[in-house]
Amino acid sequence: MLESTTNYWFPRPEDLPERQREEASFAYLIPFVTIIAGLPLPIINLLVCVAYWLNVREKAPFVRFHALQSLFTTIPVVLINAGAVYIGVHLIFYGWTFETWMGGYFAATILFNIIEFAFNIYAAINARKGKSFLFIGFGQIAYDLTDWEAMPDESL
Amino acid sequence: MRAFKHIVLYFGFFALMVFIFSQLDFFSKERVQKLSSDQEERISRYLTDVFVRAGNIMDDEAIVTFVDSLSSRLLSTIDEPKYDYSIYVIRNRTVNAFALPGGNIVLHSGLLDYAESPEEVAAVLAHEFGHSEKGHIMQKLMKEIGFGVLFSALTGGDIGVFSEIGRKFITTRFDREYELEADGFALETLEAASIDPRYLAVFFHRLSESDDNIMIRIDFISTHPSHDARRQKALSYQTAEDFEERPIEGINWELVKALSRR
Repeated sequence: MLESTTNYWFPRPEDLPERQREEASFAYLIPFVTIIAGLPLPIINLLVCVAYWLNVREKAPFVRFHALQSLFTTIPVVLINAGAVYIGVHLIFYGWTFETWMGGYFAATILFNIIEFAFNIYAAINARKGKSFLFIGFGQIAYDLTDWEAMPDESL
Repeated sequence: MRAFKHIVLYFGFFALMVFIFSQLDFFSKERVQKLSSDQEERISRYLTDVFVRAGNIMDDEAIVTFVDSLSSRLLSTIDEPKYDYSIYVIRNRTVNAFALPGGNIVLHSGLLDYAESPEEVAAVLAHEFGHSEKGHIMQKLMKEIGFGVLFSALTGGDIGVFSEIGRKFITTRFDREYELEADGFALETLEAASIDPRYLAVFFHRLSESDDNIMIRIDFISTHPSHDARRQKALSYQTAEDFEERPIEGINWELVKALSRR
């Protein structure tokens, strides 16, 4: 799930202000805030990540990068969860017959959510420490989309 | 491009996990269906106790023979019925019939009294079989009670939860699409059992023309103002060209009627 950061530039942890590290860390914790609402409606988890990214998009690149990385890693899990909800709703309300593959889908969904949960905790801890890391695939996209040159004036 | 490859790998890994989990017996269709039918049986026992109290059951030989004759004739046309059905006739003047979970069907004596022929009762019974065979009963409960409450009951919920299920069961009706599906099932089953499917339309018609003083609570008529359309559909049902009606034999309809009036 993690990619080497050897070929990527990241700010050194000791150069990062406390506030930036907190905001970067919070990007990975925010999906947990809506975990209950996200169970029946997975899109809520995604919306809250989008809202957070919109909120920090003018902030320091370290914060923007982590908000974007968190948002991108949430998308596939949300799609998977939406599939599980779709199947569940059709089983309960539309008379679908349970098939073995559906059990497999639900189990794999739970597994992926646990993995996502574990990595989000890992990411939140490491972002809080100012460490640099990239999730495979989505991390690279987030990195490429982050304007590392644009430094906001945070003196106000 | 590399990122795209990783995304494909991500979903590929997910698909692989779905495949691996699907191979485990724990998630097999048979196991889950067994679990589901065990749970349905639990709710069925509770609701049957509530709606079919021993004192109300009409177990006169003529009535038992009558319902056995109807049900066996109808069920013989269904390939692998979903349940081992039990039909209860209970003493109640209301014109009503309903299917409970687990293949239990309740007919009120008022319905037998109101029917003008055994074929009309067969039409109602076929409709209720339709609800059971199509899985409408548990779907209705889940829809009305909510999956959470039902799950709580299925996994050992308290008596309050069961009471809620009982209350909801009698105060809510099937959706229109379920009624239409049960009608369709009834029409086909009646034809297969050599009973003229138009008896369903006849019964609809008589109910809609009924005196308001008659206490009609029959599920498929009381909540759907569109029953004219359903009657039309039943009337327009085309039987096969070689269809031949066979009378229901081995029953004493007059005695059944007389007993149902007691």
